Amino acid sequence: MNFLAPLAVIIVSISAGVTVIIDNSRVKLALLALQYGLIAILIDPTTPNQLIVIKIVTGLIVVLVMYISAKQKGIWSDHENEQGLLTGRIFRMIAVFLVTTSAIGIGRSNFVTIPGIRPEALSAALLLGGLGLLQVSMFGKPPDVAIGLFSLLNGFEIVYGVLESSIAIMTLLAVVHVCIAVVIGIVELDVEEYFASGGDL
Amino acid sequence: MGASLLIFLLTLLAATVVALLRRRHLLSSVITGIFAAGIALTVLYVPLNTAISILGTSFRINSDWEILGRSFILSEANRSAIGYLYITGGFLLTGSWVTRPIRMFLPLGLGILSLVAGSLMIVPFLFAAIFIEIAAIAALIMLSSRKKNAYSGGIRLLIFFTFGMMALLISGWAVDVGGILSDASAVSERSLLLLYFGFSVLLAIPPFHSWIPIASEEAQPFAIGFTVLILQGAGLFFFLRFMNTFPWIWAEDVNLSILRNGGAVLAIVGALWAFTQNNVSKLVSYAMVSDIGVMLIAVGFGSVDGFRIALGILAARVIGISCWAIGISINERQISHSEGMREGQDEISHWLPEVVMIVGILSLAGVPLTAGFPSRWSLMQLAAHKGIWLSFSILLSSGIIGYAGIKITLMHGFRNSEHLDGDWGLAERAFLWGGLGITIILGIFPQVLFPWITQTILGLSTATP
Repeated sequence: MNFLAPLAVIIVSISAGVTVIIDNSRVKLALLALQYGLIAILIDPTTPNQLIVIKIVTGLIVVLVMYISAKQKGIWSDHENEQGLLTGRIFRMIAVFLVTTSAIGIGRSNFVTIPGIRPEALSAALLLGGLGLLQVSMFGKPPDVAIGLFSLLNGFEIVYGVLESSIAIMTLLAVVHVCIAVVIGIVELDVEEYFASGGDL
Repeated sequence: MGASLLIFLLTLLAATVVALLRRRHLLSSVITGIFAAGIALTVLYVPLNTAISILGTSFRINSDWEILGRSFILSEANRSAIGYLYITGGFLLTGSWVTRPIRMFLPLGLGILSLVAGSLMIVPFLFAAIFIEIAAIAALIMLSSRKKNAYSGGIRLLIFFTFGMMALLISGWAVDVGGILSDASAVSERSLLLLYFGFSVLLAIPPFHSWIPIASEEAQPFAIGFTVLILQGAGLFFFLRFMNTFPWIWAEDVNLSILRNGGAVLAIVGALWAFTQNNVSKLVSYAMVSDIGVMLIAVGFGSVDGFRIALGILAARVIGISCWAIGISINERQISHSEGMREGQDEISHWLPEVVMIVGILSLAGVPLTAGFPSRWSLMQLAAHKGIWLSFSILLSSGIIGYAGIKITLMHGFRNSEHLDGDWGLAERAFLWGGLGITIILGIFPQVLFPWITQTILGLSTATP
């Protein structure tokens, strides 16, 4: 699947960038699922197959948990950006452009040298890391922050998978993904519903 | 059976029982305390790798337990630290009953304790960063459960700890590679920067402290106290293990000097931040930041004495923060109760919660006759050998926080001190008096606490998993 790697980098960068720009939760989750699938292509070819399976299964669980919590919470409406046009979508597009070009620039320079990693995997990692960071810093709502963190972690794992290919560690990192998804679901869902019903924690 | 598996199973059992009994606050708190103490005693005293016979049944508890190619090891190097963790955690969780926390507070707290224990046992220990990250994720629920949309502090904690975990994993790999060469120069400056970054996050060193003041306004006092104490404690133990495992990084005094002087600056800056606050919870949150600065000064000596003092401060802050949390929680309840009363009715207030609250703050500041004082005094004596600046910074931070604590309590507290009892019963009174008594007794007789700390530090310094 080596020949697919450059294509995967392009799709990953587009999906991570679009996730920052758009407001539609359904599309965001679909792009997140796509991201997890593409990471499996970008992970080092020498990595054991179990790790790739772990990654794909993790992605499925994360997206499913986020989907269920978002559906129960009823946040599927295409809520428009509340911050106005200039500070909204156009601003985010410019930010995505700047981060993407920076990540590509850093990837092409000798600033980051990690032994054994393919150039396209490094580019994807930097793009996901940069755009994930952007998503985390631009949004305050827990599900948006979580999606940014997932991008960031996916970028990190592409690099770290080359350095440390232990199944135990990749499983633990997968647990981190799932825990974030579950806890974000709880924070968004249970507490608010509990209060809405007049409860007192 | 592996000892670590036994710890995890016992904690899981405790969490399940407590979750089932979550509607009965007092009972579940007492059960949590009993389980935490039982696990701590098991960790501290169970014979490892030796056949044990109980009621005719013979079994053996192994020090290591392997899963998916990685080991969890309970050894002399970490059993004191884990025992210490369960006792302090159990103390906090049991005391939380007074503050009426969320119903899942106790199971969550036990889960966090087991994760932090896992971080102390996993080999290679650098993977501890992942366990601490999962503990931080669980803490997000505690911090976000008080009122609607009160999740900013918890979300920030999650973001910071995720960054910290990634930085520590990468730098850990780099340092490990350098360690094979046994050459400090092999570790690039970039790796050391990542290392400092990672530990700054875990120890909530500015600018990564900002989740604490935000969460202190949103979360229940006991939730924020528990989270800060356990996560910073985990960070400190992780850091001490790191120093112990890679001593060649600290062989150069410049790195230790950065720790000492950075800690001194942090102690003063944190105290000044605390001084500018008008809110007791925020004052305490910045006092915690200042306190971690003082701990860094102690750790920066790179000696067993320094480590012992750092752990002494860590132990004393458990007492101080518990007192503050109990005092402010009951005080807040009194205020909300009196606000709900009709005009003409007697307002309900009592001096005891406010006194316990201020004593907790003074202990956190390290004022004489409180639990926080002996460690700071020892540190000032130790620091005097390195110049007056370090001792002065410790003294100044204590003075500023102590003054700010008294000032803010006089401004906001004791408003109705002439009135009689609040709506709290015998058990709450016992907790308040107990907190007050422990703080003062440990301030006057520190020898009660220090032998245990010495045992912990001996464990940390004599063996490396």
